[in-house]
Amino acid sequence: MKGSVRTLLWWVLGIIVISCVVIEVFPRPQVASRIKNLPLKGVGFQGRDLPLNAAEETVFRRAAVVKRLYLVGNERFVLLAIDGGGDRHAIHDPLYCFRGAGWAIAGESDLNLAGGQARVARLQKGPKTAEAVYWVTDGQQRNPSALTAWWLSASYRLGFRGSDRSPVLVLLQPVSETTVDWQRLLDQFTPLSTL
Amino acid sequence: MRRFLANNGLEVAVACFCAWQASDLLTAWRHSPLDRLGWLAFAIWSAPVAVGMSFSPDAKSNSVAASVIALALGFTGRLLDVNGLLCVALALALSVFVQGGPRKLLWLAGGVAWMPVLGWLARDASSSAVVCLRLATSAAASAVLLLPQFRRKLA
Repeated sequence: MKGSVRTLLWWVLGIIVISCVVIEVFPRPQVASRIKNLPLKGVGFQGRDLPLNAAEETVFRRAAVVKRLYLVGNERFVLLAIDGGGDRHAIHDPLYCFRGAGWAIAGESDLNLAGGQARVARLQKGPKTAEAVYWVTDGQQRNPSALTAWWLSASYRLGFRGSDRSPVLVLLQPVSETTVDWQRLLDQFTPLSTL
Repeated sequence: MRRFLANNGLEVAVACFCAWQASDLLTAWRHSPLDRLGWLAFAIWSAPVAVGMSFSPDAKSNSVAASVIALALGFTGRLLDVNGLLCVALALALSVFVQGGPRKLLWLAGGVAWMPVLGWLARDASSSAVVCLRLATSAAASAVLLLPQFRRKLA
């Protein structure tokens, strides 16, 4: 009996390994990431691409990423958009990274934006302060929670969502220690709603 | 080692599969500040596995159930892309190589020491505090299994 169970398990293991190899070698075909369509210039704003640092290159190696410095009106900020369609793990709770980098979360609040909400995190490291605004979107709904990010990824990966609805993490940070009127910025900078 | 493989080929294959699925751990250990030295915690935690393999090459695993659960978790984790499941699958797959009765459950629970979830749970602590917690937890988990074995060998 035990021998036949083990033989069956060998077969199951073989099938699972082959399935995983197939998933690995033939991932879900990806259309060009929609984050690449985010305009660099438009009425009232202009931006330029920024290079990824070495750690970002490694962590986002399988994901489409856009990192830009934007000037919208008088507000300057860095935008990082990560498409998790190719690699779910490229998208995770930004607060986790900030804490890991030594920042303490001094406060959080939510902002309204088309299709949902964004979260503003106020960060502190010694005398230094910073802010970050983030949300996860599938192109229709927007929400900052990690659970939503996981659900959007899992349902996309299992084929319950169209190939143009991959989960994207959008993270905005002001340049150095300046502050930004985020609600006004989100209202003005309409290309963000195309992500 | 050859004898051990002959006796536990299926369990070793399942463990290799789970290790492959959980290989993103290497990236986390290398780049995530809260997962720093996770590899060392893993090495300390898995010491009983290495000891079991070297001291008892004839031991036959009787935990087919643990391998089946590990395989199921590993595959589900891959389909849903959930790292937590992949880590638990790896811990379970390795657990079949150690003996220890109820103490084994404590050791298994101590596996959280090398998993990114510990960094997430302790995210409000400093990264050095998380590193200390990781190493202390993995050392305690290994000691739970190894100390009685060494005592028995010395007696």
